[in-house]
Amino acid sequence: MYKYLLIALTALLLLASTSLAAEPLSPAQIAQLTYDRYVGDDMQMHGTMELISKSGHVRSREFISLRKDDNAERKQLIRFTAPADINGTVFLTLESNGSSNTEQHLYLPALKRTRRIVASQKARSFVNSDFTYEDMQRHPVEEWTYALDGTETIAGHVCYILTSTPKPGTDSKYGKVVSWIEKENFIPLKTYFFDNKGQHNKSYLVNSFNVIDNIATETEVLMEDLLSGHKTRLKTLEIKYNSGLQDSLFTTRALER
Amino acid sequence: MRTSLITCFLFLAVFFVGQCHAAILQGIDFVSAEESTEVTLRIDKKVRYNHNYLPASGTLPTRCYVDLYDTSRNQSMATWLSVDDPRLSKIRTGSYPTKLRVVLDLQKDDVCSVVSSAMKPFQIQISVTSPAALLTKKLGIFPQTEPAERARLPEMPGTVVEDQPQPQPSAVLSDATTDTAEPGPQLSSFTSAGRDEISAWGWAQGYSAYDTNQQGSEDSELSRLQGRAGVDWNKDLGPESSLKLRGAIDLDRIYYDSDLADEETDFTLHETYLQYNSTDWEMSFGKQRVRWGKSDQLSPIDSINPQDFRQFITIDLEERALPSWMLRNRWHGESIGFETIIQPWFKKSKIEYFDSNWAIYRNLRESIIANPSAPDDLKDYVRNLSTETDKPGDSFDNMSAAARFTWQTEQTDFALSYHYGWETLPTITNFPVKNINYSGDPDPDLTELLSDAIFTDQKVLAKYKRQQTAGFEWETVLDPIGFRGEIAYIDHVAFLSSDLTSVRKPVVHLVSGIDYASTTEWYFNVQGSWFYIHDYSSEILYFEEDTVSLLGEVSKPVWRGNLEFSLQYNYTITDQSSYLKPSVTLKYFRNFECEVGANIFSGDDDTLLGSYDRNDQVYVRVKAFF
Repeated sequence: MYKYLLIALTALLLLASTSLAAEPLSPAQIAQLTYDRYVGDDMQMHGTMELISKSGHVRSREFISLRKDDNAERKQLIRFTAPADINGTVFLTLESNGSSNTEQHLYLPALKRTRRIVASQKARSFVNSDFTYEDMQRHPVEEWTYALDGTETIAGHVCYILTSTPKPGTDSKYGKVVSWIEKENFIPLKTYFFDNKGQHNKSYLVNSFNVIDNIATETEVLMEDLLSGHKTRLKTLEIKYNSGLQDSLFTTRALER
Repeated sequence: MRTSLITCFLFLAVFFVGQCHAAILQGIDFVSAEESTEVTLRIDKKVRYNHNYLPASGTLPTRCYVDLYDTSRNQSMATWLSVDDPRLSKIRTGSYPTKLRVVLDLQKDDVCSVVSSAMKPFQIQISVTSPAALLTKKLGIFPQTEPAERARLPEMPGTVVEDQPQPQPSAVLSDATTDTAEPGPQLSSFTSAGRDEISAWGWAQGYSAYDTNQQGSEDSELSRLQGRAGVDWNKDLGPESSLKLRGAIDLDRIYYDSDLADEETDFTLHETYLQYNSTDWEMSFGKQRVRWGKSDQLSPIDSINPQDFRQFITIDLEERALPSWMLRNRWHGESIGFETIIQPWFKKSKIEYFDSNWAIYRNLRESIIANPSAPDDLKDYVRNLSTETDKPGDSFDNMSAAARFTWQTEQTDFALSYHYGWETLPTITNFPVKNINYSGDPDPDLTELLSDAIFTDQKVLAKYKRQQTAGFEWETVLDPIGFRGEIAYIDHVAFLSSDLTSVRKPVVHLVSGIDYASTTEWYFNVQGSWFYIHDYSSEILYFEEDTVSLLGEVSKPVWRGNLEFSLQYNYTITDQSSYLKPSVTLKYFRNFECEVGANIFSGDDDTLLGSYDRNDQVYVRVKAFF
């Protein structure tokens, strides 16, 4: 008797979950799934950052980036390795999950000293690139409102078009952000940034991504400042996920090593 | 000196070249298993590599290949190898100018995954499996979709498109050279474990300063050439421990145009130490620089290293520090830390006593020699003035020690420190001209100054004495500003007095300030300094009992950081003297920067900053990194 009841309940649950799965995702759910997208428990990456002026002059930098996620926070360390004049400069960011509390430290080898730096100035350019500190962080989902403006296919990938607007009191330099989020992996393939006057002033584009270790990974992205014509391209040269990075790598003392 | 320099640089060049030989592919092994075929490339050292996958094309089968950069093939190896395997038909190698390509010809549309290990020799392992097997293994380094469907998105209008042509091979060894199409991004797995790296670094800098006021006796020109070359060796001993060895040499040549000044060329060992790191502690021994304290440009707690005072404060605090021998231990807990330093040998600061704009006695000697009304015997007397330095000998009793306790909250760092060391600036225990009352004026009225003077045949005696410094420092963020500071009690500080010898007094020095960076990249740093001399005596030159000043920096990078404008300032409120350093730095060219600026002093002659009033200068500095 119990066996039949169990089968019946299981069938009902399966039916219910199937019908739930068929429910279209709400805009907030899409934002949450994007925020929660699995990007590995940890990651180490070797990449380049190219600063491209309007006239085409390119300044290139190389860096190593380490990231580790746990339930409480996301830790990220970026160590520049080339050119020689910035070699050894390191940024450490400790970002509390689900909130905008962020702690940042900067180590400049010439000063032989790690400085605590203000993280709240999110609109500042990150090392003179077209990325701001805000662009380098995830937006806490509850601080924004969302609208779904349909879907569009980019290079064979069906994408949600999600418009995000900061709630009053949210610290953001943007008035609106429109993202094309790939349906399968919840990876934003294209993002348009609008200022508070509604002017489209920056564009972000994933030029390529690969599925690496079962994780959708942007391997070349481009951020363009539409007002100045300046661009910043980030390329991934090497990457490895889930290698068991130690917590001690994400401490201020590790910056000096 | 020149010969020894050339010999040294040649040695370094040979050393680096020796370290940087191309890697050699020593052999290729393969093992055929039920579900996969494992191919192992054995290379004599770690190399950078890329790998990719090519679909069948024309007569060419489906292929995987790995490009090994800066690698050549062991000459005893065959250029291709037929393989009896259900997944592989052939393994081939082809040489390019900058890389060696290893191609795996596949029997079917299997997929490859590539990993490397830090074993010695360095190994890259290629696993050839069926797509179904790959799905179960979830390796996924190569695309899980067909190559034609790989995620390669079109460039946006206006974006920069890269089409980098493949270099032609230098020698055609097989049809590996036809594998030039490289669709999509190439990624290799990242291998930082087992790090065993040697890297070389260095810089060369030229500095030239010209006085804007060329009247009087001061040297009107200063030139300085500096170079530093170093080698770092980093080796992982395990997942949680590593070694670091740093060796660096320093070349420093400084020239003043003063008639009496010596040209100085120093060729010294700079930072050279061996450091052991583990998860929660580290130990290092050798010549090192240690920076304690949180404030900028003026840091009373930063007393561990001696300093180079030959350009006073016209060069930055961190550039003035000279490495010294020490054993340093640091232990780190979750939120607290403890650090100890033992300095077995004393190292003195670099100081000029006479004949430079920045010397302790400024240009007092040359101002007498250049004075037409001064008698010849007085000129001869001051010309023969000499200095003797009494520094602590190398003994157990003369060792220095320091300790620092740090703790950290979510938003604030604190530290308590104590240093039992030696004073950075020496105590002048004897001046050969007695019975004088000097006001600090670098161009004094000689008749008045020497009216009752007694001339002896003694030397200027400079003696380094013990000094203890206890400090407390803090740093936090009060959005949107940073707030930091430090306070130090120093038991004895030497001050020049009116008889041109030193008096030693206890001092309390507080420096605290804020900084702010705007969204438009303006940077503001404002610090306040309170310098209190306990048991003050009126014969102390340049300082009052309480000296309060404002100092800091305003800067603004423009043109995406290619150009930076900066103004460093130091205004002493209590005596109304000041120092301004406006500068503009060009950083447009890779690994090269050029700075043009000025050092502007003002104030009364009997104030510290005002006593340099005649030394205003413009300067240019060029620096190349490598």
